Amino acid sequence: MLENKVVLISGTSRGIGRALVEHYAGKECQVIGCSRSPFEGELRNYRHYRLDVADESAVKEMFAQIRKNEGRLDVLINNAGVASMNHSLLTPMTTVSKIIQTNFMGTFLLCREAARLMQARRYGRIVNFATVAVPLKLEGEAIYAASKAAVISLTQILAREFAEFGITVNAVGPTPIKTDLIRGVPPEKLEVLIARQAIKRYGEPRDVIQVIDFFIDPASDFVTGQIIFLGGV
Amino acid sequence: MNTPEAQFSTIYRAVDWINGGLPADRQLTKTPETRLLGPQSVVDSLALVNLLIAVEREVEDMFGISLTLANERALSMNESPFRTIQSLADYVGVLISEAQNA
Repeated sequence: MLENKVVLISGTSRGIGRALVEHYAGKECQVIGCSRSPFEGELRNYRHYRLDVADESAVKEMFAQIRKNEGRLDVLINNAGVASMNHSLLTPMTTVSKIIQTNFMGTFLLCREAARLMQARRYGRIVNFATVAVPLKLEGEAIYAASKAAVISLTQILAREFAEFGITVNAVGPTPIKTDLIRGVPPEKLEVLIARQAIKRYGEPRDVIQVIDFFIDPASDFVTGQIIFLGGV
Repeated sequence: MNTPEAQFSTIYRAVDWINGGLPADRQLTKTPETRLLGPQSVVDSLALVNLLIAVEREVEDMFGISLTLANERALSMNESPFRTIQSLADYVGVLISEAQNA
């Protein structure tokens, strides 16, 4: 069903993004990815761009090349994100700016440019990334959670703005998954967080992929504006 | 070449695409005087958004130039460049010329 779909994924150098690339490349999609770091290794049906998702001119150039090479975009997965666990009183504005730029502005920019391309064929699937830190109101992650709360609101409103273009916009909210994103978080804090989930375990990339597969399925054309949090949160 | 004929041709191809998704009684006519904004316009705000994006796409195909029509400059003008097809063509011509000379 997804064979030959053109899929753009952000934040693909490692972690969930890397897993997403391998999953959709394995499904014979044409996968395009981007991150600030290079992509290690080569995949036959994968092309990589090194860029910052908040860099408008670099992002526009990437989309211009997608339009020239593939002629269309079917799926956008806004995986790129950064976090910094810190009490608000000790959070510098440089950290605030970086998190908001990458998590919210980068998500918005890719949504906007993707929708311009998807609108031509009146078809598209956009999946953004939320986090359980939002409903759990996680102390130490005020800026990260705020940036993702903005992504949630953006997802719900873009779902309505893009509906007439045949584009669905949804979001998945992962629990802690053992990637670099939580490398700096003390294990005891993670255990307290996991204890608040209905299903008390670390998430895995396959859990996220399961939800994304559902959202981007061509048959899911009546599902939009939805946020699915993992782990029963 | 960035001529008025080419500008109108580009815009009218975008109008054809928009008209493909509009009902028969709300089709845009392909004349310079056709109003795109205001009470006499036949298009609503969503159709105008669609039209502008379609024009950007046609400009990229025709001239190889990536434009953003609804930018700060357009939004800060005293008279909107999106009032009519004529004003839109004039604006597109200016942007193409600037891009080609950059």
